Amino acid sequence: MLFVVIFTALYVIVFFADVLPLKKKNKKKEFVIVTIMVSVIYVLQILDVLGINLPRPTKGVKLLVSLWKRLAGSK
Amino acid sequence: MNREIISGKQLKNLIIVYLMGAALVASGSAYAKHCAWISEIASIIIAIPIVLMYARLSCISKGKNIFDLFQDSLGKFIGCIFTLLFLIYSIYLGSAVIRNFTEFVQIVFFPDTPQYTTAIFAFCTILYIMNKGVEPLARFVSTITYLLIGIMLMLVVFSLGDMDFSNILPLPGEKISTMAKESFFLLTLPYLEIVMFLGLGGSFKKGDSIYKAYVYGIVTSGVVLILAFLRNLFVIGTHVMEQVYFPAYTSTSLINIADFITRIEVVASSTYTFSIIIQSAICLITACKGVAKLTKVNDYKVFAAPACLLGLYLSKTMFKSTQALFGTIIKGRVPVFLVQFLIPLITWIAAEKKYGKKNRSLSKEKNA
Repeated sequence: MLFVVIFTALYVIVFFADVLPLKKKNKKKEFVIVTIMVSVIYVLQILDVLGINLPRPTKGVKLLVSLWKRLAGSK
Repeated sequence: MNREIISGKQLKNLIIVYLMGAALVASGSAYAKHCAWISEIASIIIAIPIVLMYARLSCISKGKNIFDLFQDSLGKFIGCIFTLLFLIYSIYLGSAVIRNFTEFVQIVFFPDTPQYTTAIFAFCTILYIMNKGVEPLARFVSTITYLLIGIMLMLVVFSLGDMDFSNILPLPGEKISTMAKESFFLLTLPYLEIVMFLGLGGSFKKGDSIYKAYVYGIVTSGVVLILAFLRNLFVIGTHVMEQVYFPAYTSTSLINIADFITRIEVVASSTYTFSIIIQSAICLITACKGVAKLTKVNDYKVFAAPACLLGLYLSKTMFKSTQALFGTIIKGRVPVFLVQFLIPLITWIAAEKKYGKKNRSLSKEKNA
């Protein structure tokens, strides 16, 4: 639970320090893209901290390697 | 859009520090055991022509980075796919490097502290570096490169008393196929990791030789890494090197000169920390440039915060455990090699067709 608080604080700080100034600089497109990105990463981060297991991104690499090995083996 | 300019000398220093990163503390061998230094020399020799290709890609179209080249020379569709692949690799590398660092800190210093704690501090530093940009980073790295190399050499000299030179024998002790396997592994990690510098392509100073910077960078860091490996081999031997995750740290921790110079491994750890932060920052800067290209945004720095936060998330979740981290690094060398070699090769051929002709006709017009 401690890390939920820490990460929420971190994301709020990052939002106010790095993302919100984009709106003030009139960079609307950048502001929207970065806000969506940060929100998605925040949700993923909190799910991870709460112990909800999401599929690991390295699974794709493992799949590629096993496919490669199979192809090499078939030759 | 602010243009950042890096001189050839600064690029060389960046490459040296970047390559010394993770390899400085790990510097063990995956397959060839005590003959890994021969594989290391072979991998440097093989890496040089590939690195020259990177240098050519960096200067073939003045003021453009690899993401611009993808779309300009390969078309929009293939360009976008290559950009995406390069982007995924840069985020993977940036996160894996920090995971390596947090593992190191947890295993060696703070076993009960969660890895997230170290990662948060690391990524805050990286975010600061990214917000400042490449130019201040290059200037800072130029001031510390020789200090880091000096520390590295000093540690080798201090270890001389603990060295057992018979550890290198028997000299041709491994099969050529095993040594080739090790060479290929070392080629993908660390030498061809400098593919990330293609992302900084548009920032190099006109008139400075990019080729020289790349080759000197890779050779200098290669020599330092071979020295580090030989030091580890002579001090702790192959058997201990296989048992520990961070052989360089273990070998430096044995330094004891007349009970006066001891616990010097802290110095090694600090140089490692510098290199790791810089390596990860460069990977994430390249990633940001990729996202900026895909979203058609001019300033890549606006993506610094999401890139760092994603890196922070992935550094923890990408690998299940320490074994998984090292296992994936070894297993993942084939797909990684595709990004490091095949994608730049295809782009180089296409870019040569497009820009080579243009450059030749321009030079002919000048001569006429």
